[in-house]
Amino acid sequence: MTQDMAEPLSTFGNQEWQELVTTALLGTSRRAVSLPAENGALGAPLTGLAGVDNERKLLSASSVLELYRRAGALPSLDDKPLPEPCEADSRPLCSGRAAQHLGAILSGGYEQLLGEWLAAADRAGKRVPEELLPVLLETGRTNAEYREAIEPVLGKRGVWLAAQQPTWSYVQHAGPDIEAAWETGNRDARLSLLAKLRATNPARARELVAEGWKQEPADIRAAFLKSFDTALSMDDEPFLEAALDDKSKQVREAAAELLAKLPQSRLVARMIERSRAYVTLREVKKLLVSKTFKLEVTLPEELDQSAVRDGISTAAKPGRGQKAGWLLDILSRVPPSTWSETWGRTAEEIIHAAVESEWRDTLLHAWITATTTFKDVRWAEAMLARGPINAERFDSSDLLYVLPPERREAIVLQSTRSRKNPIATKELTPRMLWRLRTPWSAEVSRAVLLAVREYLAATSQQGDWEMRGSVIYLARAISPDLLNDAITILGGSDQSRSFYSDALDKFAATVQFRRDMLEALFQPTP
Amino acid sequence: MDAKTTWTTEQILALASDAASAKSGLDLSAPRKWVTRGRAEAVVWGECQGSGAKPYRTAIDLSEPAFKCSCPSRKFPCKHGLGLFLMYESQAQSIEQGTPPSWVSEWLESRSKRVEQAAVKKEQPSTPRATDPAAQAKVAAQREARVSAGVKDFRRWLGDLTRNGLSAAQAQPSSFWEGPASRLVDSQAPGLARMVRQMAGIPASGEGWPDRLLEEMGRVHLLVESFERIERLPLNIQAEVRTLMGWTQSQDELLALDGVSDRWAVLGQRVVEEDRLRTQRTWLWGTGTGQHALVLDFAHGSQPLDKTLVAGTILDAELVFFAGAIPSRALVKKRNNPPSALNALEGVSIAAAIEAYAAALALNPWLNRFPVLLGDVVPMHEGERWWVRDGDGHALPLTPRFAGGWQFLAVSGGHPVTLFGEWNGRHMHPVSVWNGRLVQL
Repeated sequence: MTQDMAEPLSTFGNQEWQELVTTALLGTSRRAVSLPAENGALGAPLTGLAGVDNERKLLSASSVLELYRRAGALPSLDDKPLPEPCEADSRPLCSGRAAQHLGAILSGGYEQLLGEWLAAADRAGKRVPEELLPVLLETGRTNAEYREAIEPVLGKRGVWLAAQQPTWSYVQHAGPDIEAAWETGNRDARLSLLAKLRATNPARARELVAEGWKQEPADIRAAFLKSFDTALSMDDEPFLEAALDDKSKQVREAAAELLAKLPQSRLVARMIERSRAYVTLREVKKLLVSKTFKLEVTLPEELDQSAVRDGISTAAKPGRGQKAGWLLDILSRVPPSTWSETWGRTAEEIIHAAVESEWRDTLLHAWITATTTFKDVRWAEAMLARGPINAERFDSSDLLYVLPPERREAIVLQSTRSRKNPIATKELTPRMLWRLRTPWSAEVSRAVLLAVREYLAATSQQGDWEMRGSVIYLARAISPDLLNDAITILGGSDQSRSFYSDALDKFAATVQFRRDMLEALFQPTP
Repeated sequence: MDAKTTWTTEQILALASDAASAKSGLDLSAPRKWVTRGRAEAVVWGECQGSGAKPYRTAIDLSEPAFKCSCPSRKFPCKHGLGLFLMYESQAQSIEQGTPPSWVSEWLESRSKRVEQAAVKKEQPSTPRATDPAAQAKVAAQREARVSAGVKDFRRWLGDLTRNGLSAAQAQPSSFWEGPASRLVDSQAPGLARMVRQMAGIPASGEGWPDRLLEEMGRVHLLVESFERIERLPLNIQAEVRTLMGWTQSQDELLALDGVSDRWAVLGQRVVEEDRLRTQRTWLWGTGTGQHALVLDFAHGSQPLDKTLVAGTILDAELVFFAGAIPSRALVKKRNNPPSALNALEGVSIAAAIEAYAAALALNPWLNRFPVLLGDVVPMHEGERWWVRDGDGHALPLTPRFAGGWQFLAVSGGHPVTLFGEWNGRHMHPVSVWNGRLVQL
């Protein structure tokens, strides 16, 4: 019988019991029943079995011996060192009601409100009740985006707990020493350590990667490189430049992608060099029209090896000619400010020329990507000022990410005011809304809710499936200050028979949950 | 005097029949949802605007708690009841003290009448029903005869199993075990049948299975031998044997008996589901008598379980115990006062708990779940294997089937805590932990 280390031990009758088990396994027809010696405490109940048949003898002896052993078992002694107990927490626990909201969120109701609950609990200076720590830490393990918000509300107890479970080692100050774990960890553990170290000490992370670089297989080298995206800087450039000559295509691509995000990198310098030969701006004189400009594109017949090394794909892209693909790849990796400087023209003038150009789709697409990659505020403003540029083909909403949150809100606010029913005219798109930082300001929340209400009323019969799916997001994004009025604002007109009534019900339920949730976190404890 | 007893949000939400009700209950716990709100001693009421023209009328008798609501929901308690209770718990100041309106007082009156009627009925038990005693005796004698015949048949089968060996049994299909089990059901011995069905799973349960199977065979053998000479056994052992064989004891007759009054700490609940039948085991601990009690409740399919015993509260009540080798299973006969909060919980050392188990085993050789309340134990683990250790350095292993090890560790913080659980002689299944408040695991 296997014995659990901590199981109570019975030293009595082990041998006799094993004897009975062996006979039972083989059967009394094949093996004799040998009874325990008829002396001591066991003797008395067994003496009566002398004359009975073998089966009964075995079963009776088993029941007596099993009871004897069970009743006589003593607890085993454990000499493992006791773990270091957790220090007292200075942060108070959140209220029982707030804990219930968190419990509901973690068990799958309103899970998208987790971020807001965590942030609000931190602002309220509260921590998570102990019994919810394991499920919260587990949520952070599988959803990395919550980790930052989880840490402040774990309390000392949560950090103490996380230190004992290697899969929760993403918690700062928890878990074993990073470098020791790096030596012994498996692939996933090392990737998670690397991600953590990149955020705090990118140079040391790079050194660790460089030390074992030659021995690692290609997929791991590529995965290691991807971690450089965190805290990427010119310090990483020499290492990445060298990786452009790696024998694995996967690794070369990862390196090229990172270098293309560093405006000072040699790769970007080469891209600028290439692109200057391909794209030129010419002044055109037209009668009665002030100066305009024309963009001219001249592309080579073949790509040279150095362009391929820099990650320009030779494969044709869907919906685009091969050469247009090259142009897209190259221009996307050139900081847009290069063009303003090279040609001495404003972003507005250059974008206008691109819109007029026969290469318009490729040029605009590449510049939207480049503006986002290099976070060029000037160009982002200029592009957004043109309003929806062929909204069917481009999603210019990513440009909003380049701008500071307040500016993004201002642009959205302006769109809500620009025309009647701005959602129908695509002046305001749901995608733009999701690029705002949540929760939105009260002003933006109100303006958006009014715009959505106008749109819902206009489409209540035919229906818009995308909008129906989007209504629920509004409930999570609007300002806490507007939670009391949101349902009236959005559902104020009679929407009960509308295509959207289900969505509006869900909106109302989520708004109420948020309101109760924030109330429970901030209400003074009685 | 304000009769507000200390219920916690967790305890109230534990009353919900499912997660959806709990969520709706939270949604309805804001005072603005309620058109009217009022409370008096041991009762709280309100009117909640639903989708209909008339608001729903909801009331709670806090002494149990018992719920009433005019909404059509089949869930019990409904979301309005939960919402009202939660509002009472968290924002009692928003509910004005007052005189209950007629719809509340009428309900309370009808409730107390029902309780009285039940009590009267219990005091004059078994007014001979339409069936005449001779016929009843005949039915009972018939059952005795059928069970005896079934037991005889089963002993032959058990003898064959022993003769042919457990190795041979391991290769048998499930029908090998199901055959005798269903014959025992036909012979009106469903308890014994259940034990045989549980044996069926052992040969596939991994290392140590022959030991475990032989242990079970020994237990079953002891039961059938005891049954065959039942008239020579003490009365309480007779009752134990008959219960294990599958006879039930009449709850009406039990409720007519005198019970044990105490302030019973509700230590925790476990719900086990088997073939769409849910069994809820609620463990109570007499704070005065030191006696434990187990209250069982059964529900088929989506039927609600009884939610009136709330872990972490103290129930001031009279319990009656089912007859058995050790009084354990019990019914709540009468509640003396509304439940109050449990404020402290102390346990014993591991050595003392094991000693108590051995003593209990001497009284009831079929004992399988023994409640233990361990004091000052620290959770320990190695990977996913968990045990607890007390101040003497003694250790008890937790069952591998227990999934709440990390939760237990989190609540303890590595400090000694009081742990309540079920001990089966080999593993402990934790039910709840006390660390200033009771947390169910």
